[in-house]
Parts: sequence; C-alpha cells; structure tokens
Amino acid sequence: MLRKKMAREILKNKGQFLSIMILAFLAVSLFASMKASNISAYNKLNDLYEKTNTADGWIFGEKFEEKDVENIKKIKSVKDARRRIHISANAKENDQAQLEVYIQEDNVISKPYVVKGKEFDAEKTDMIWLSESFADAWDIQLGDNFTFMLSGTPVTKKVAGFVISPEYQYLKAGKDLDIVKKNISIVYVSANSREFNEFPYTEIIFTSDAKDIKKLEQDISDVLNGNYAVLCDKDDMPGIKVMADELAQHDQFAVSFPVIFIIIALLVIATTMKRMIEQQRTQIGTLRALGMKKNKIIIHYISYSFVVSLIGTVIGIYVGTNVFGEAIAKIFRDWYQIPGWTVEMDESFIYVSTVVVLTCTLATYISCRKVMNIHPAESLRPATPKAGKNTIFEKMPFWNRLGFSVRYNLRDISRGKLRAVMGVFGTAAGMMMMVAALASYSTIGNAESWTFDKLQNFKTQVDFDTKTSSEEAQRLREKYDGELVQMSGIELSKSKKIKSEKKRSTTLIVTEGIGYFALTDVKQNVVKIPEGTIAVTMKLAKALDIEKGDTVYWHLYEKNTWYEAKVGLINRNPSFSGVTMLRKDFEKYGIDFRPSVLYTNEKLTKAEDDIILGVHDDKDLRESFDVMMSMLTAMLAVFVIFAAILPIVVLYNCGNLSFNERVKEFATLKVLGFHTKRIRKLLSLQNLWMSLIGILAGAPFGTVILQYMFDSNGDSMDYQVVANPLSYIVSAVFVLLVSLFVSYMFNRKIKQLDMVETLKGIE
Amino acid sequence: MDNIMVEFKDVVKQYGEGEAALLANNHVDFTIDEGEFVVILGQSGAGKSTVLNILGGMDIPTSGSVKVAGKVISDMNDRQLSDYRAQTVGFIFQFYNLLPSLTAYENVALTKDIVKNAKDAKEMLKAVGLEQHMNKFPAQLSGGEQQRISIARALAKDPKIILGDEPTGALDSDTGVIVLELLQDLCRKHNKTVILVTHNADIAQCADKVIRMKNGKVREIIKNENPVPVSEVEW
Repeated sequence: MLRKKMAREILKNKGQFLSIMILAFLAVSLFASMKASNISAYNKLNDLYEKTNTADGWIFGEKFEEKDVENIKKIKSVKDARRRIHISANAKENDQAQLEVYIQEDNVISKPYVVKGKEFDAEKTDMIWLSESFADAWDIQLGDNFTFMLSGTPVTKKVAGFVISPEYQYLKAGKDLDIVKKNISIVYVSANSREFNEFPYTEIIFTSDAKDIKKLEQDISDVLNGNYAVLCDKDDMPGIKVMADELAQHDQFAVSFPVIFIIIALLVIATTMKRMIEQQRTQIGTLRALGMKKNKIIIHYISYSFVVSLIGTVIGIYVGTNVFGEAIAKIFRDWYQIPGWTVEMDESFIYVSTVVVLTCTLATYISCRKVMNIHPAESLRPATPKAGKNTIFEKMPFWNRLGFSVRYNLRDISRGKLRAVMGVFGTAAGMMMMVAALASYSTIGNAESWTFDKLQNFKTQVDFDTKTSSEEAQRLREKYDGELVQMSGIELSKSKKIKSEKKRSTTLIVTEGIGYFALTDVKQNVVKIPEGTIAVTMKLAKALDIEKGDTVYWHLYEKNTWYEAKVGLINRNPSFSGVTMLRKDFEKYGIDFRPSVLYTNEKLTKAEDDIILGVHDDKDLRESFDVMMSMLTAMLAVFVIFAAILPIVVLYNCGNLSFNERVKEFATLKVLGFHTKRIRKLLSLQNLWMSLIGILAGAPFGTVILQYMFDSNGDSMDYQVVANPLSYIVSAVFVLLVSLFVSYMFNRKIKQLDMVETLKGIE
Repeated sequence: MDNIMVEFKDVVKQYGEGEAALLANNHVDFTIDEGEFVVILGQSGAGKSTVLNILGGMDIPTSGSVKVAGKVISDMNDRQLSDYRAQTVGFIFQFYNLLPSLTAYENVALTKDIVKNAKDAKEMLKAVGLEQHMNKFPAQLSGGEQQRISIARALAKDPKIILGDEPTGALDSDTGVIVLELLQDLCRKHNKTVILVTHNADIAQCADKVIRMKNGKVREIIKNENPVPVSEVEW
C-alpha cells in the first residue's frame, strides 16, 4: 500500500521530483558523456599500442649505427629496439602535401596499423604505405602509383596499404592551423630500397617495461657515449600528446561539472523531502499509532528520492553514453585517429551512479530522521508552528524603517535557510556557467584580435620547402620585403644535468625582430625581445619554473649540442608555446639560420618561386582560426543549455517551496483583505532577492571557471579570458527573466488560492 | 429596519455537480442588526461555516443575495471582495492564523498595509491586555494569547463586523472565557457586530440572537432578550 502512496505523492509533487530527476540526470549524463568516449578512446588506444607494438621510448640524434641499437638492447629494462630514418618530404602532386616518411628495416616496433591492404614488409622495396585519412581525402586506390620528392628527386612507388600510425593520433600539417586531412600523410617505406642508402638513421625506437622511460636516460647516455639529442617518451610525442591532453581535459570535466549538479540536487532533495515530511507529520503519526515500525516508515520516505534519483541516473547513463557520448566521440573521431573509437563504460559508471543515488537517499534520511524521533502521540497533534525568531537582520539600524514585505521575507529566509542557500547557490552556479559560456565568445574574439592585430602584422604567410637555405629565402625576402622566421623543435631545460626534471620539448621561433611577427608581454602589450636574450612564453615558464633573468639551456631537436641562453622576457601568445629569439643572437651560436616562413605585406602566389611550398593570405588564416574555434563554440553551446537549465530548475523549486510552505499565511493575508497583487509581490520579492544575490555571487566565478577550462586545453593554448559587460548583462537578464517567469507561475496560483480550502485543514 | 447590518436572502451554496452535489446552504434567510452579538449554532456539516465564509467574502453563494452594510457582496468580483474583506470584516480563526515570522506587534501592525486608517497596533494590544508581549513571536505565546492577538489584529482594521469561526474551539475553558468576554465587550462597548460560529450551545446564552442551523437550513432564529454576560455563565 505504501508503494501506492509513494507513486501518488510523486505524481502530486511532480514538479519537484522531476527537478530532482533532471538534476540527477544532468549530473550523471554529463559525467557519462565525457567518460564514455574517453574510456573507449583509452581502451582502443591501448589495443592499438598492443597490436602495433608501439615504442615506449624514442631517441633522436644525428646518426645512429647498428651497434648503438645493439647496445640499447642490452639495457636491462629495454625489451627490444630498432633504428629508423625519418625524413620530412612533400608529395609531387596532391598539393605537395607534407609527408612524414618513415624508412624502416623491418616491421617490429611501432608497426603501422593497416586499415586496408597489406602489412608493411621491408622486402617489398617498390611499395609504399600511406595514411588512410590522406588516401581517403585524395581518393587514392591500392595499387596506384604515388610519387614524392626526395631532395629534389621524384621517387615513385606502388601503394600497398592504408595505415594509421600509432605515433600520430593527432596529425596536422605544419602549414595548417587546423587539421586538413589532405595536407599531410605519414608514409612508410622500406630501408632496403636504394634511394635511402645515403640517409642517416636519426631515430632509435625501443619498447621497455620501465615505468618511467626518463629514468633510463643515464644508461642510454652511457651506452651512446652521449651521442644523441633527445630521449622522449609518449608524453613528449606531439602526435600522441595532443590527444592525451584532450582526453585528460575530458576526464577533468567529467568530475568537476557533475559535482555542481549533484550539490544542487542534494539541496533540492533536502528541502523538498523536509517539507513533505513536515506536511505529513500527522500521517506519519497515524501510521506509527497503527503500529507500523519506524524503520518501515523511514524506508518508505527514503524510497521516494531513491526511486526518483535512480530513474534519473539510469536515463542519464543511457542517454549520456549513447547520445551525448557518441556525439562527442563522433566529433573527435574526425580529429584524432584511433581505430574503432566509440563509447564504452567501465566500473566507474557503477560507482558514480551509486554515489549519486546514495547521496540523494542519504540526504532524505537526514532530513526525515528528526520527525521520526517524535513520539507518535505527539506527532498526531498539530506541529507547533516553526518559531519565528529575531534575525541578524534586525540588528541593522534601519530595520524598523523597512516595509512589512521586506521584514516578513527576511524573517522567512532566516526560517528556511537551506531553501535560501539552494536558491542562491543554484542561481549562482547557473550564472557562473552562463557567464563562462558567453565570455568564451569574447575570449575567442580577444584571441583573434590579439593574434591578428598585435602578433601577426602581415598580409601573406609564405611557407618554404623544408630544404630551403638561408640564401634562397633571403633572395625572396629582398624581392618582397618582410620578415623571415625559422621554427624548430627544441628541448629546453632549466639545468645542465641530463636527467633534469625541468626539461621540456618545445618550439623555437627565430625572428628578425622587424615586427611582422611580433611579441606581446603577459598583458598583451607589444614588446621587443631585449637583445642577447630569449623570450619564454608564460605557461612554459611557469611549468619549468623559469623567471626573467634566469639562465636556461637548450638544443635543437635533431642536434646533440646544448647552448646556454638568458631569459629577457616572459611573453604570451594564445596559440604558441615556446621560446623566441632574434636571428642575430641565434647566429651568434654559430647555427645556420634556416627560415621556414616569410611574412610579408605583398601579395604573391605559389608559382612565384620553387622554394614556396604554400601561401596563405590573412583571410585564409582568419578562416582557419574560425574553423578551429567552431568546435569549441559547439561544445560551449551545449554548456549554455546546461547552464540555462540550472536557474530554471532551482528557482522553480525555490518558488514552489516558498509558496507551499507559506500557502496558509498567504490565505490568511487574503482573508485579512490583502489584494492578490500585494501577496504576489510578497512572494516574488524573495525569489528576486535570491536571483540577485545569486547573480552577484556567481558572476565573478564565470571567468575563473572559463580560464580553468582554457588552461586545461593543453600546453600550447594560452587564452586570456576576457569578459565583456554584455556577457554579464545577458546572463543576468536571463536569470532575472527566469525568476520573473517563476514568479508569474506562482502568481496564478495565488489568484486561484482557495482561502476556505487552504485554511480548513489547518493544523 | 434602518440598522440591518447583514441580510441573507434565499442563499444557496452548492458544492459539486450532479449526484455528488452537496447543498451546504439550502435557501438560507436571516438578518442581523448592527451591534448585535450573534451565535450561529449547529453540528458539523450544518452549513454554519459556509455562511461565515460567504459573510467573510471568502466564498460566493451559488444563488441568492447577501447584503452587508448596505452593499450586495454576493455579486462582487475578486477585487471588490478584497476591498470588502479589508474594510468591512475582521476574521478570527479557530487556530489564530498569525504569521509565525512576525512578532505580536507586527502581526497587528500588518493592518496598516491593508487599510489606510488602521488603528494603532500598540493600542490594540493594550485593549486585549497583551502590550507586555508585543515583541514576542506567536510560537512564544499560549493559545489564548495568540487568539487575543488575532482579535487585536481584527480590531485594528476597525471593521464593521467581526466574524469568528469557533474562536474558542482550540482553547481550554478558562482562556476561552477570556476570549469570549473580549468579544462580547467589543460588541457592547464599541458597537461592533459580532458573529460567531460554534457547536457549543453554552455560548448561545450570551448572544443577542441565535441562529440554529441543521442540514444546510436555518432551523430557528431565537432572539435573546436577556443575554447573560460571559463571566456569569456556568461553563
């Protein structure tokens, strides 16, 4: 019978129980959507690493001999090792797409994962294996001939397979700002073919059962006599790291955002159940007088929120995983190459669901425990009305001058503190999320003007072929005027020790200091690098604990020599992380300046010169910036929807509670002759206050949470959150509108309030 | 007949429709003069509360007409009824219905927000003998004290008639007497029309007029030529 009672009462209070269900649903589905795609990504990634025997360590150097490989193999925790040649080349046709060519002696470590065609085979010297994404974009068929340029000489081979490289989940051409599949391919060819006889082996890859590859560095350095440049693990490999950063960010979101919803769900449950149990005091007394066991009654009330939150949770898991999660996986499948990536669940889903349902149930237990302890005879008598008492507000000097409505509401709030906390917290959370979502648009706008108005002062970006010499570039620069810039991979360290903890793989930009490619300080002011020093970007400096004036050490990725430099500037760039130095300082080290880009204000085309690989005008660059941002904005749109639901649910509940708790008082006021309008004002006032306080309390946190989101977006992104007044105004107006709408809903109830009925059952 | 304060003419109040229909008032007729102390007597379900609710402007009759202080209230709209409730009647409930979050004084002073020329709340509390408790909250007062505050609240609006729905129903007899004395005083000394609904026949001896109801009809109307002062009644 109690089950029937429960079903009927849930229906009767559908608004509030629906809110609890929605909140449980939101919390769990938000968690599930982030987590389900992540779990699948991790599982499929592990499958991929296992199937392809992906390397655990990479050693880069100028040249490795066979005996180096043998020596590496002798290191205790190294399982197996191979050397390989890596060349950056370009396709002859296909828009001269960027090719990362791996020339391998066999197919043992970091095997290309074959999607279609034959396994890689070093015996087949006339064959070539291409990235599946690239082949797909160009409609290349198995058996087609494919030609690429090797130091100016065309090399043609027959396409034997379409593959995914386990070392490149993230595959983006150097000249592109975002992923364009037809502009880049990983290429595998046999080292046995004669074209590559002259090329040095620049990489050793090895598998290992050591947990921390970096701990092997001393041993590796010993066996190689220090003749190597960099030792990397998976975290250092850009093709792997970008993806790993992204997944880590999702993992973080999967926990932090649901927590907000769960806290609000708990507040809603606690207030709702408390009211319900207080209202049913006599019923509870009756049941107990009839001889029903206390525990049975407690279980009865607990089961309300148990059932409701369980339903919300189950739907949340299902929809979160299969709808939202699948949608997220679909977006990211387009970006990252992991074969078989969909959605999966793991035991954390059970834990989270259990925690959500149990905390909801526990909140009910806590709020009904008190009533249960009252003696049945006592609970059959009407409850003494909750005492009004003097509130802290009365200490205010102007208390006596406040109108009745204000005093009445202030006292009412102090009688229902939990309700007030829920109202303020919920609105504040909603406001925070709204501001964050809207401010992200102004932040992106700021990043755009920062990039295009301050940092990049050119109309055309000319990318050079990788083999372009300083002289060739110089020739073009004299013709068109502009600034030559070199971009190279380096390793940066705070100390000279090989095994330094403060060591990072990053990028070096060498500029001529003319200003086509400018630098800004941490406050976005355009500044120049002091001569004889280098600039380090803010996030990198923080990570390595570097300050202005420090001495740091660096070396080019493919070279073994370390250099010393002094930090003269901490700079900031939204989409670049690394080191910047002037050409003259760079050349002082005795290193060849090998420009990769020319920035100019002239218009020119690719046909202009042989060394030009590609030309982008500022319109292209802005467009690809916009494309990159469009994914972010799509995710933020979802965020806005979630943010919008919060104040609606919370303010509705607050309105509902404060109406129901005071319905008899309102009826009394109506009998005394208060006009409906006055009573409405009385009710709306409190909701309005809570929304106003919530707006004020939530607003400052919007940018905080947004900065946290942007900061968790990987090392290379460094957006400075900027909120314009409009973000705040729009969010505040929205929350106020919701508040007004809720007031309007209850206004109708006040008009229809039946004085006789309401006061008849007075207890 | 100049001083007729209340006139019920052929009043019918029907709840529900068809077979489930209930006639709470079945052609009720009576008049009450200004300054009269009237008791409407009857068992539960006799229809006496319905009469009081209609009089209080909280309910409207299905048919018939009700005239109070010269105005027909039976066809007033919501707004007019609000004004009527504010200006003409003071209502006293069985369970006092004070606002728990307001002090005794504030509960009475509340009337300033309802009518323009409300009486001074402190004076009203003095009149019911509770000025020393004016800063206490309802929960800190006894039932009898709460009921006296609700009388003070009704009085502060300076209404023409005071309606009481079992005003002593929740009180023990000693405090009940105090409340009733107060009400009878209002009638005698301030010339208020006081109408009480009760099932307690003892109270009837104190009234000028007793309207006895049963099954939604007025059974008899007794004019009491010599009403007994409350203090002399044997309870």
